[in-house]
Amino acid sequence: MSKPLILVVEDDPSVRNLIVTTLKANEYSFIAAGSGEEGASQAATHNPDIILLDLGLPDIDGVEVIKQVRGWAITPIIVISARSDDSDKIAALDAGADDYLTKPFSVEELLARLRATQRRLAYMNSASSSSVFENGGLKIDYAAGCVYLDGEELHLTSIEYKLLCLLAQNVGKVLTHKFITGNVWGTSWDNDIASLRVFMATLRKKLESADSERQYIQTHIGVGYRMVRL
Amino acid sequence: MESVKDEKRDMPLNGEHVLVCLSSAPSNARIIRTAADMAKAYGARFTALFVETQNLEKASPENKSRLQANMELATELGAEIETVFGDDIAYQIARFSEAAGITKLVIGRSTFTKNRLLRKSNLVESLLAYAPEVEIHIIPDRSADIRYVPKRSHGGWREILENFAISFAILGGATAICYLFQWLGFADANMIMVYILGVLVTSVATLSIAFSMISSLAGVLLFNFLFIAPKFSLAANGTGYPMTFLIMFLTAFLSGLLAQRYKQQANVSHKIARRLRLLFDTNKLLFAQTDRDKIISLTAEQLIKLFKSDVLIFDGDMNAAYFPENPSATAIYDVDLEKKRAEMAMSGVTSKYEDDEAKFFYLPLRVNDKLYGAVGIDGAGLSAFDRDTFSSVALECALALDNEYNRREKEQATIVASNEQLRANILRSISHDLRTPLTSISGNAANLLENGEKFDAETRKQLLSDILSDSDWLINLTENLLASTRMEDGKLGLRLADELIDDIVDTAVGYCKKRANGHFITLKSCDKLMFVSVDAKLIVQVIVNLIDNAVKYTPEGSHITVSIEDALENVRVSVMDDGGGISEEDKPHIFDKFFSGASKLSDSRRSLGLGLYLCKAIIEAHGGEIRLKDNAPHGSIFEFELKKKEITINE
Repeated sequence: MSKPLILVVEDDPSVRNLIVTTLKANEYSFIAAGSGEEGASQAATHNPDIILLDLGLPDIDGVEVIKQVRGWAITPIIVISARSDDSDKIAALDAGADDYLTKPFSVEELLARLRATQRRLAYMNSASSSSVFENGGLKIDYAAGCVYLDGEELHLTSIEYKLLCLLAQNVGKVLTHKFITGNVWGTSWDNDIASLRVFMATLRKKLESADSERQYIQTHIGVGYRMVRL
Repeated sequence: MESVKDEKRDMPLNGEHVLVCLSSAPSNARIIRTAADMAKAYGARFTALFVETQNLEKASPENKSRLQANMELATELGAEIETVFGDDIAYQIARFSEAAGITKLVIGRSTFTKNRLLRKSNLVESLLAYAPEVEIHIIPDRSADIRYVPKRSHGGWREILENFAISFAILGGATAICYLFQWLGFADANMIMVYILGVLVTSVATLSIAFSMISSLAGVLLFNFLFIAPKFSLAANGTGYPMTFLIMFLTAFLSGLLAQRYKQQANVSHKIARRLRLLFDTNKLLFAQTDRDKIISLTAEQLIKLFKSDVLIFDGDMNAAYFPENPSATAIYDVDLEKKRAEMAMSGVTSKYEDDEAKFFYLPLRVNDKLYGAVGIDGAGLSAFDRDTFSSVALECALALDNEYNRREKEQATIVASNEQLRANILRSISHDLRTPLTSISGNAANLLENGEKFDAETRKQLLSDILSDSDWLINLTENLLASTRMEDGKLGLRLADELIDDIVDTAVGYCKKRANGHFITLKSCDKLMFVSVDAKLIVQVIVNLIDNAVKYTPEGSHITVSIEDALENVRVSVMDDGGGISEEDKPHIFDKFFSGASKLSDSRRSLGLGLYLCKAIIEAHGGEIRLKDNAPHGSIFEFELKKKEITINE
């Protein structure tokens, strides 16, 4: 698989330089933009595979850029935020971002996110029409409504199954609490979010009891959950 | 209303001062309006005076409410209301006029034709005699009810009958004593003294001067009829007797009159003294109070004592506090209506009292331009004296609230100032501590940039790893500083959410595992799913700090165990290490700000002493507790407990 084209939208020159140098060193091809408007137009002309987007831009808010891009493309967007507040990450995810990185981040972390997104892209291209989902030792047979872990059938409650399918369909993407409760319960009261935490905890226990080093579902405290593409 | 007041305030006062007398007469309203017009025309100060007499207590409710309406009208027209006490209306008006510098006096004809029993001279004549320098304007009554006579309430008839009975009894007693004197052979003069004494007693025991007069007359007649020859006839054998009778009558009547005056005076001064004492008490009690709620409840208590009425107090945010006279009674009032009424009072309107349904009569709690709410008592049957007392209590209450407010503001300012001081201290010490890693980072980077090629690979790697570790230290510090700023707001800064303790501990351990080389970190979870209501980021920071601390103070290869336990109502999280432990002398200071056992650190790793201090602050802000214990056989255990949260789950 050829290395994807990455668009970097970041106004701070030294952080942009850091990202660009990292990409160069790892043989990614890239384009860089220093403002939101420029980023949006670059995205339109070059049609990149992945967008790395800083939320605090001088001209328009990062969330605005996401909304513009989402108007015509499903390009994965990884948001970079220096704000420690969860609410702007949630706003970006709800607007259509796929993942987020909080400053200060390490070079390895950046590369890991890129690799995960690439895997997800590859999966989306190959298996989009498949009725079976496979990820590591996990296998979901949508048609039969069965879940297998390392070849053995897992017994899940109907809500656990619904949650697992939702995560699987959006593998690699961080799903916010609101998004999940809205999809599974149809509402998003505080009480539903507490319930969600309990169901996720039991689901994770069932998935990870066999092998504690392998983590299928990541918890993002205050934000949501993500199924990791193994 | 406000505009009228402002106008009054702004007006250049030219020394003119208009006085109008208030009464319960229906025509009084017209007189007040005329006086107000006059005050406006002259640009004069405007005062409305009510002379409260003994009769007010006997006035019918109808009259009382009319008097109230007249007072409110006067207030609305910009008059200052004053009340004086005394039965000689003209004398009181004159005294007040003199004291207040009244130049123009407006009275109505009804006031002036009010020709009561035994009041011989009319009001105008008396006024002219008492205060010749005041201009008197008399407003004629055109309405039919010129002969307005203040109605007595029905309770009056019983009183009159009672008084008659008392007078008869005393007179009878005096006569009986006189018979005794006659039998003993005492002189006539003694009998005269007995009758005079009887009249004196009657004056004190009865309400009206009329009884004294009747008694005096009856005494003279009885004495003449029963004891003076010829007996049982009103004729007297002796030339001196008519004179004796006249002097006896005058002596009896005058002494009766004086006794009555004295009694009234005593009554009034008793009333005034009682009010003064209560106001003084109120003042003293309120002055000692530093708590807002206490001030309000104390005011209510005093008002209940004074007026035997329920009390409703609205604070500045219009929250009602109800104080019933009878503590077991339930509140019966329409809150919205009362609120509207109280708001009206606060904006300065105190009239239109009888046409709305509100139960209470309100006065604003105002000091200068600052409003602290409104206080209401049962408005029915308030005399001018009561209103005066009420407004004094309201003012005392407002002053106390104002004091309390100012004190609180001052305290707030002191807290802000000391917070500023603390912040400045922290900033200074942090900036100082930042210099070292920044020097290392910028120095090493500059070295590499300038002389990179000259160093061998080994040296280059060393310089680069120094840069990395110093910047990691700075990153960690930044997280703690961010958490500190959140903690400065105390509990208010917390963003509480119901979280699974497993998720929180998991996140923290995951974060530390990535950075801990050479230490073994294990997580011992609990099977039970437990919720805590916490600010997740801050609790993660606590666990990260505790693990970091364990990593920092234990040799490589040490084991760090993080465990979650169910502790009845609480969740206990502990971070255990098997390092060297903490010395006894350091233990008491371990959670202090800027304390660090730096002297005992094996290498150059720095510590700002913020981490554990912050852990304690965060856990305490969550209502939890953090402790340090010894691990066996060696090492330390840091553990904290947070209250469990019960959650109902939707399937």
